[in-house]
Formats: sequence, structure tokens, C-alpha cells
Amino acid sequence: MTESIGLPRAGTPARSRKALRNIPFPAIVGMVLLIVPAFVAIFAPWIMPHDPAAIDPSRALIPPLPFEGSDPAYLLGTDNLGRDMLSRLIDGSRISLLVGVLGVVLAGTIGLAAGLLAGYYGRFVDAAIMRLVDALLAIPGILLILVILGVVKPGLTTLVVVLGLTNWVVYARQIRAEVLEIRERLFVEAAKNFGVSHTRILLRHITPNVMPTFIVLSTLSVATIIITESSLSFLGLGVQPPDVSWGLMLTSGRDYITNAWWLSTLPGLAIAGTVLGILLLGDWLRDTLDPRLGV
Amino acid sequence: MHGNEPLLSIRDLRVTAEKRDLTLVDGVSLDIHAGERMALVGESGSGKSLTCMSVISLLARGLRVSGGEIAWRGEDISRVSAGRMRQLRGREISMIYQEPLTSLNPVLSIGNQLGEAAKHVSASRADVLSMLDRVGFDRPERVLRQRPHELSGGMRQRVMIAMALLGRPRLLLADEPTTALDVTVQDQVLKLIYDITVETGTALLLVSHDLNVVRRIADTVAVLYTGRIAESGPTERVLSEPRHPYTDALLRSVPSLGVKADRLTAIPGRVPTPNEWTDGCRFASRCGFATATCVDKPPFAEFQGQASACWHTDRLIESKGAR
Amino acid sequence: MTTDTALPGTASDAAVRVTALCKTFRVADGFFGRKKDFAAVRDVGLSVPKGATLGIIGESGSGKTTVARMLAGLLRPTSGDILITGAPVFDAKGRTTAAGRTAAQMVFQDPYSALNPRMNVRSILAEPLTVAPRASRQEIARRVAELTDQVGMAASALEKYPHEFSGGQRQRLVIARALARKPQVLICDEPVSALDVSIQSQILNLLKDLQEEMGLTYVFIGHGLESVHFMSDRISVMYKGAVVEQGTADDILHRPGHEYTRRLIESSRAQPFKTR
Repeated sequence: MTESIGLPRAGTPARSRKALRNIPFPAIVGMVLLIVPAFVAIFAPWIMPHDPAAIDPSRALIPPLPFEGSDPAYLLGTDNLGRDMLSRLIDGSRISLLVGVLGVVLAGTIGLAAGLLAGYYGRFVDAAIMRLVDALLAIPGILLILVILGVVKPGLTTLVVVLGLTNWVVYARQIRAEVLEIRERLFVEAAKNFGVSHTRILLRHITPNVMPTFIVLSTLSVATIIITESSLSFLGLGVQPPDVSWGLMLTSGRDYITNAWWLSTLPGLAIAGTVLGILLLGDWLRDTLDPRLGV
Repeated sequence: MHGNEPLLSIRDLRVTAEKRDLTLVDGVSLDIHAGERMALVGESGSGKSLTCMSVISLLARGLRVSGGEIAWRGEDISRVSAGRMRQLRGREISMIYQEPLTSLNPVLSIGNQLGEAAKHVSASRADVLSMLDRVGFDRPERVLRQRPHELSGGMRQRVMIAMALLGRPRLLLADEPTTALDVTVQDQVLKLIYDITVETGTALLLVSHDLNVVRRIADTVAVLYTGRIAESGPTERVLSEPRHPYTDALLRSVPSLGVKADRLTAIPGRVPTPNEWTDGCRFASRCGFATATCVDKPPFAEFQGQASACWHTDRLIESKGAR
Repeated sequence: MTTDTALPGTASDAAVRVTALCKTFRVADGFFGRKKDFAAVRDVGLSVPKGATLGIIGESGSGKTTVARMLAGLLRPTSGDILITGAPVFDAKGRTTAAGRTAAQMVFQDPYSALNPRMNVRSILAEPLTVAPRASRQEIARRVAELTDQVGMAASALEKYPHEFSGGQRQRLVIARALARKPQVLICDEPVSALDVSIQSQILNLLKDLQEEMGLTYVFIGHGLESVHFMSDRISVMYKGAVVEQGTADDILHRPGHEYTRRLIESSRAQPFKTR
């Protein structure tokens, strides 16, 4: 009366190999969109054609290549102070990506821990964490950032910490909701039945099951964080010149938008492309990490 | 029953999952006459629900009728417009579902929801009240003011039955209508469906996995396995003298009351999934009668109103005689 | 009436002994959330001799699953005692004891939700063995292989994930996991009602085989009379939180005392309806 085992679907190791061969097109686009800025950020000092900070008013506002008045030496043109756009974009990628990644790591870690604890333990722990979350959500994020930055000296570290501290609440709420559902599933009950510790239930049973949500939230919040960074930089509270980020470039080009569109548009495209890449890759990652969805 | 013209006639129905190109219902044919109570019985994946849903074009997204014909009183309704189907639903063909809690909107009163259904089939308030009375509510006026969560599961299913029958349909489709209910309540609701279909002459197509339910209510039965009909015929005959080894094995595998057995006669293995389906007999791998012949598609042979798709019906009958 | 409270077996040879078990839930009542007490289980007494099966039958809301969860140490009783092979499941402070976690294990109704989709079978079966007192690595590997074999699964199943199995196979895994720490008692909460008809008999037979091989004691909970009658030596009928009737399986079937039992039997007999 032995049942025949195993449907003719591939086992897991074989499946992941197969999955790698059949990466869907959007995910490939996502990878390309991410590999380019990541490569550029890592090798920035070696691939910048000009010094990104070199000011030369005589060369101000040269348009990018195919347009009239362009200069082959400055592929993407120059800004209002005559700095090379391409070099500045390359240089700016480092801070933009760094801020985005570190901000998400910080926000995600705090949010995941808070959501897991609140959802799993409930009662007092839940009440305490969720009241804090409610309080933070009641204050507009940007206002909170402004208050913090008004007290602490602006700078890269401050920026990352501030972005992390204001973005974790989204994680906490969503993950808590997910945990509330997962902790009622029978496999959690079964684990309790044979005396598995709470820590282990949280790490082995609950955390892996909230990962899809976590990944989606992370891709979304990288986008939010990169964009928040640009508004803060615009207000002079984010990245401080001579450092440069895409956000700073985007917002400082605003004054020239009518006669030199490339100052805002090029960093804008860089942000949009990177964010799109993250979203596409995140989607695919969520699906492949789910053992139920592998085909 | 009047005339030989069936109310609903399904011929060689095929339902396909488009994305993965899997055939889930593979050539089902059946006729339901006016006033007939027919049961589709099978396990999960047998295609019984899909067959039922195809009739009123309620297949889930990604599934479609890819072949065959569904004729409603002579009209092919398998590819009919959404507008025509809306006309038919409720007035000619009605449906009740398994889970009465999710098929009722929790924030609207029963009166509200019945009113909406009544408007669709132009029934009056008096019709609604008498129908509620008929399905067993002592104080119909009061039920109208209640919300779904104030009613028990059995009560909600009674409301659903009332709603389905408001338009006096000729055919009632019921997809596992009592599965979510307790055994005793299940029986009361089943009896209600039986009585009401007898009274009104409404035909019934009942989808169920439960042989007891089928035995209690259905005149005729079609046993489905892996998207095909294994056996069909008058319920009493099929369930007492099965002509397909699957029906036979199924009947013998369920514990029967009063017969104290030490072990059950289990069917080995498991139901093959659609990607494993072959053209030959799909029960062969679990069947005690299987031979090399079974790799070919078995013919659907009729014998005194009872039909089965098996190469070895004779040997099955023989073995039963010997037993 | 067949309500005999004097069950065979003394306290010493009873694998499960439950006395005066009560569970009261506080529930919010009405719009303003006034709290109200709801007695889900009222004064339940049960006794199951070693190696026997007690069936508990009742409709939803009868308290049968609440009793099951208390027996397995998953839910603290409001009052009353539960002894599994003579040892209490809960200590004086209401915490589950070590004995309570080992001696009785639960087989759940829904094998789809009972296995963590992100763990492979090997980790699922090994987990109970990693809880203190922790078994050695070789011991775990040996035991996992043994369990897989006992429930009729191939060794190749170990590296797979739950979604790769059918409902019946999953239920085998749930049973294997429950057996990992060699419990004396299995609490089976409707173990076949989520399965296909042709698979149910396999699982019921498996449970009977395992009982014979290992001398297990079962508390078998169900809502259908057929499977409970097939599995059980004795049956307790629960209705609205209380045991309204108990007796041998055949007594309950042939000489039902309570109105609910009679209706249950009538529904299960499955005679065709007759036109009035």
C-alpha cells in the first residue's frame, strides 16, 4: 500500500538550476538595469572621463551628444558650471546606491524584527511596537526627517540613519499582519506541540514564510529611499556638495529645466532605470524563492 | 419527465488550462432531462466541478471550454455571449455553492441580497417571503433584517437555496452544497433540496465527492475520474452493481456502518495529476484488473442504461459473482 | 441510555485519563465588545486503556477539537486534569510539562497547512528530534529514515518539499513527524476529512497498522460516524461542550441514547430519500 512517490516535477536542486536557465525576460532586463549602475559605482574612479568636480564656466551647458552644439569630449554634455555630466552621473551613482542599499538594510532589519516580535508575541509587545508605529505614521515622514536633521549635523551617515528610522514602519506593519496569519497555521502548532523554542519557531518557521513580503517591501522601499534622498538633497539636508548624488543632480538642475533639460532628465532617467531594475528583479526573486511556484 | 428531449445535453466537453496547455476535462458527455436529479461524483481533479461551472460559463480565469458542445434546450451555450448567459442564469439555470459564508456579502442584510436577486428575476416581495418560508424559516420577515453572520451555516445555505430558486429555474446546479456543513445539518439541507426539486420539477446537477450524499438524493450518477466519465447510470444500479473497477474499489474502500472490518480495502497509489494523464485508461495503474490492453482508450460501453469505460467489465462482474 | 461512566481500565493502565475537564473562553459580545464567558468544554471525563482507540464524535462547536488541543498540551484547560500514561500534561502553573510534549502528539486535519512549505521533508521530520533532549546527528538520520519507511514513503522523499506531494502523502508525513519522538498517544483530529475518498482508506489502514506495530493509543476525532466507528473501540459523543453519551462503538451505533446520536446515525445510513 505504498504510494508511489514524487510527481514528475523536478526536485529542488534540479529545479533551481533549471530556473536559472529559464530566467524570464523582465528579470533579465532588471538585471541589466542593475548591473550597469552597480558596475559603474564600483569602478567609478577608473571610468570617469573627467574630474566630476572640475568647474569651467567657459564650457557651461554643452548639450549631450546627438544634439546641436554638442562636444564629443562630453558625451552627455555639461552642467551650468561646466562640469562633465557623465562623470558626475558615474560619481553620483556611488552615493545614491549606497544610501539606497544601506537605508533599506537598516529599515528592513528594524522593521522585520519589530514586525516579527509584534506579530508573534502579541499582547504587550505588540501594543508597544504598534503604538510607536502609529505615532510615526501620524507624523509626515519628511517632517520627521527635517526635525532630526535640524538637530543633527547633515551628512552621509546621518542621512542613512534618518532614512532607516523613518522607513521601517512600513515593514513592521506588513510583516506583523503576515505573522498574525502564519502563526495560526498548523505547522507552527505542530512545532509547539513537540516543544520547539519560540526563537526557533520565529527563525525556522515564520521568517522564511514572510520573506516574499519582505523582498517585495525592500524593492519598493529602495525606490522610496532613493527618491527621498533626492528631495532632502534638494533642501540642502542630504548629500552635501562637493559630494554628488543623482538626487542632488536631479533637483539642482531644476532651475535650468527650460533651457538645459539634460541636467534634470539624465539623473532622473538613472534613478528611474535603477528603481525599475530593482522592482523587476524583486518580482522574479520573490517567485523563485517560493518553493511552490517553481516550474 | 416529459419527452425524450434532454434539458441539458453535454457532448464531448473539453476544458483546458490555457497557460500550461493541460486538458482538465477530457471528453465528458451527459444528458439531464427535466426533473431529473443527477450527481457528478469524483475526487479532487476529476473535473466534476469544472464540468458544472462550464454549464453557466463560470470557469476560473485561465480555463476555457476548448471543445465539445453544451446544449441548453437545443441552444449551444458553450460559446454564448455574456448577455445571453446573464439572461439564463437565475431564470433558467441557477447555482448554489459549497461555502454559503463566502457567497453572501457579510455587510448587507439577507433582505438586501435576496431583493437584488428578486429584481434580476422579477420576483415580488411576496415571492421572496414564501420562498423563505418554503426553505424552512419560521419567521421570514425577521431573516430579511439579519446579516449572514447571524445565521448558522445550515441557515445560510437555506438562504442560498431560496435565492437560487426565486426565478423558478428549470435546472439547479449544486457544487458540493453540503460539504461545509455538519453531518446532521447536511442531511436536513439535502432533504430540503430533494423535496423542493420534487415539488417544483426542477432538475438537479449535484457535484459531490460523497457517495452517501449521492445515494440519498440522485436518480442518476456519473462517476468521474481524471477528467473522464468512468461510469454512469441509475444511481441505485451503479452503486450496487458497479461496472467499472474504480467505482467498485471506491465503494469498497469507504468504511460502511455496521460492518466491523479490521482493515479497509484501500485503493493503492494516488490519483494521477493532469500532466501524467495518458490516452489509455488512467485508472490502470491502481486497478486490480489491468492488463496490457488498458494502454488503449477504453470504449464507453452501454449495458441496460448503465455505461462504463473499461476493457474488463466482464471480469469485474465475474469476480463479484465468485466473491 | 448507555452513559456508563465506569470505564474499564484503572488509572494505572489508562494511557489517557481526563477528569472534570473544562475550558471557558472569554469572547467579545456585541458591538461594544462586552466580554462574555463561553464554556466550550464542560466537565469532560475520558479514559482510554493502553493500545485502544477512543473515538470522539460531535458537530462543529461541540468542543471536540478543543478537547484534542488540550490533550496535546496546546491549550491550557480552565480546570480539570489530563494524565497521559500517568503523567500530567500541565503543571500547577498551567504550563505544558516535558511529558505533555512528548507522550501525546497531534495529527492534524489539514495536511496542507500542517507542513512548513519552506522546509524539506528531512528537516520537517528531524525537527522534533532536535528539541531537548537532542538526539545525535547519526541518531537523527537513522530515525528519519525509519519514520519515512514506517509511513510507507520512499527515501527519495526526504529532499523534497511539501508542495511536491499529494494530500495523502502529506498526511503520511504529518503522521511520521508526530511519531518522531515515540509518543504513546496520538491525538488524531479528523485526520482524513481533508483527503480524497480513495486516499482516506489508505490513511485509516496506516493508522491501524502503526497502532498494532507500536502499541499506540489513539484519540480519534471525527464528524462522520463511518470512519470513527471503523477506527474506535469506544466512542464518546460530544454535544455542546459536554460528553452526552459514551460506550463501545457498536453500542453507540446500535443502541444510541442521545437524540443527536440518533440523528447522526440516521444521516449516515444513506438510504435514498423518498417522495412524501
